[in-house]
Amino acid sequence: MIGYALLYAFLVILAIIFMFPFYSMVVGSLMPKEELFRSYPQLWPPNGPQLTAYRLLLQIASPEEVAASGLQNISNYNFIRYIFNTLLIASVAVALQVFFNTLAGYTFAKRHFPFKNQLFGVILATLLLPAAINFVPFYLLVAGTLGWKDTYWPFWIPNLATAFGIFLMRQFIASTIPDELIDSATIDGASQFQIVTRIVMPIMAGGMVVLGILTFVAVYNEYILTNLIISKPDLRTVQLFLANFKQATIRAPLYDLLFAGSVMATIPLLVLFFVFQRKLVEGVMSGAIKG
Amino acid sequence: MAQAIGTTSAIPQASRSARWRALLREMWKHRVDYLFISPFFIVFLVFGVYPMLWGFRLSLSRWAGGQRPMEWVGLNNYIGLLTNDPLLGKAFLNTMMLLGWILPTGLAFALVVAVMLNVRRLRGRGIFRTLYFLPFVTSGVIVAIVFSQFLDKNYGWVNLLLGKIGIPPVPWLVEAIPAQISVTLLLHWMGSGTNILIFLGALQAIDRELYEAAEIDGANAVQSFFRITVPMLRPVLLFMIITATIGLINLYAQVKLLTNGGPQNNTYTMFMRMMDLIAGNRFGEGAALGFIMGAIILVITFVQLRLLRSWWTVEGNLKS
Repeated sequence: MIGYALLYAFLVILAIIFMFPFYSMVVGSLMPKEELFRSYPQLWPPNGPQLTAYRLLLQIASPEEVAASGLQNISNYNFIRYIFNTLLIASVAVALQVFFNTLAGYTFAKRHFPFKNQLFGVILATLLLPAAINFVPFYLLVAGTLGWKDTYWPFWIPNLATAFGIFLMRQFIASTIPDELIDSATIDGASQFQIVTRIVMPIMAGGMVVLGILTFVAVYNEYILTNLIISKPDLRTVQLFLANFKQATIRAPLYDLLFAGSVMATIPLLVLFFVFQRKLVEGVMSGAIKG
Repeated sequence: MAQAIGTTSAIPQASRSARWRALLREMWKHRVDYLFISPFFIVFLVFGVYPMLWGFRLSLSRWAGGQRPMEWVGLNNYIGLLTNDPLLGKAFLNTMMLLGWILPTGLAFALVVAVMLNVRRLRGRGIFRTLYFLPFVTSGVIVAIVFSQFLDKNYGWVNLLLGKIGIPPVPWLVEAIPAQISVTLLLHWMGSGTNILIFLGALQAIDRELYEAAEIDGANAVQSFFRITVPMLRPVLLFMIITATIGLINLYAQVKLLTNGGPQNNTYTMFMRMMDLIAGNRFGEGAALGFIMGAIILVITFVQLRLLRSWWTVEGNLKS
């Protein structure tokens, strides 16, 4: 009994430690930065929660608040636009990757054609290629030769179909969909494309959700490539904005605004996470995934 | 390709071309299958293979981009980076130091938590594993923002709590070793959940009968752990060690925003060097650095596989 009590105590304390950075982010966003830099950190805003930082970022602050913040140029930052841009990039990337990876995953799981194993071997081998190897020439190709600087194509086209996604969908489809189902649909005269869209995709919705969320989180949180590709203010993603804002205020970081921005940026991902957490956790536990 | 259709010199010419035609007919019959898998191969050729080949040519040149001339310099970029780039050497040492910090602590921690979550009659397992996995949704940028306030010398939570037990404030982001520990803490917070889940999945795949048999043979819990659990987890451990190594060599956003590589470059990473070379329009050296990093990753992976060779198979380690 004491063993169990200790076990629960440990697990609960650990859960608090894992949650605490989220909590402190929210509390920090609700107080002015003068209160953040008291002699000790606060568990709750001493003067009650204030939404000034959110109003400043969302451009709905009163002129007095703007004047008090000392950020006359705050109206140059269009935070809603950055969230929208990031959601747009991630959504299109998810739609493309889930569709093309499912198409290829189905083909490798259920079809038989010459050189199938060799081609699948090539796909697996590319997983071992470190991304750093061609990072510089990839950047030059995308930003220079193709002229995709200040566009979102670099986030969509090069990862149209990925080795990881094809591998994952192949595993899911091979273990879920019986061959007889495909065979009977073929006998009924369905084309391969119809089989994928009308039989495989409805059954594989769960697997597609797992791949979709992993893709969404990765693209939504992307920073390195964004930092190199996007320079027009209107096209900024929320990660790029937060990173630039942090670096621009490195001597006296505006933590109230940084926290408020971080909270708003994380909300879409938290919603996705909690809606689909069961599938996601089980997907990661199956070992097929390294998040 | 020729090998795949089994041609040998003994086969008469006519028969060989007949086989070729039969193969092509078979492939034509499966044209839709090839169409369905083609997107990956097209983008891999355009955005993977072509840049790599061109990048190799670039790594042997000096080029500042745009219309400027590309000048052949042979292996000078590689020689310069390997022998005359103190920053890169520092970055490599930092990566090795971080590996030394992160691998033992991270894997031991994740394993202990996973074993606890695997206790058979535990209630709320689902809630715990979900909460531990939650940091997965945060970005490197946001984690760096939160942790830089957390670790602030005067106003941060960590020093406040340390003060409660009588430890004087630690200048986390200002001194070399504390800064490396800071990066380690940040990466643990972000990544432990995933490792815990992978361990938990592997633990649940272990046959309970093994433990019951050991119990009958008189083994206690500790013996069972080291004789059954750890050996069964070796393939998973190996996978985690290799992915953690690759992740550290490619580490960028978190460290860039938490410490900016400081203090005195003690958290400067190899990928930061690459980004600095790009920012300085030193594309030839950047391309060469890519190949050097690729080679380092391959060598380390190979060494790890060799050192841990006995880990590949589970059966070899399962002595009663």
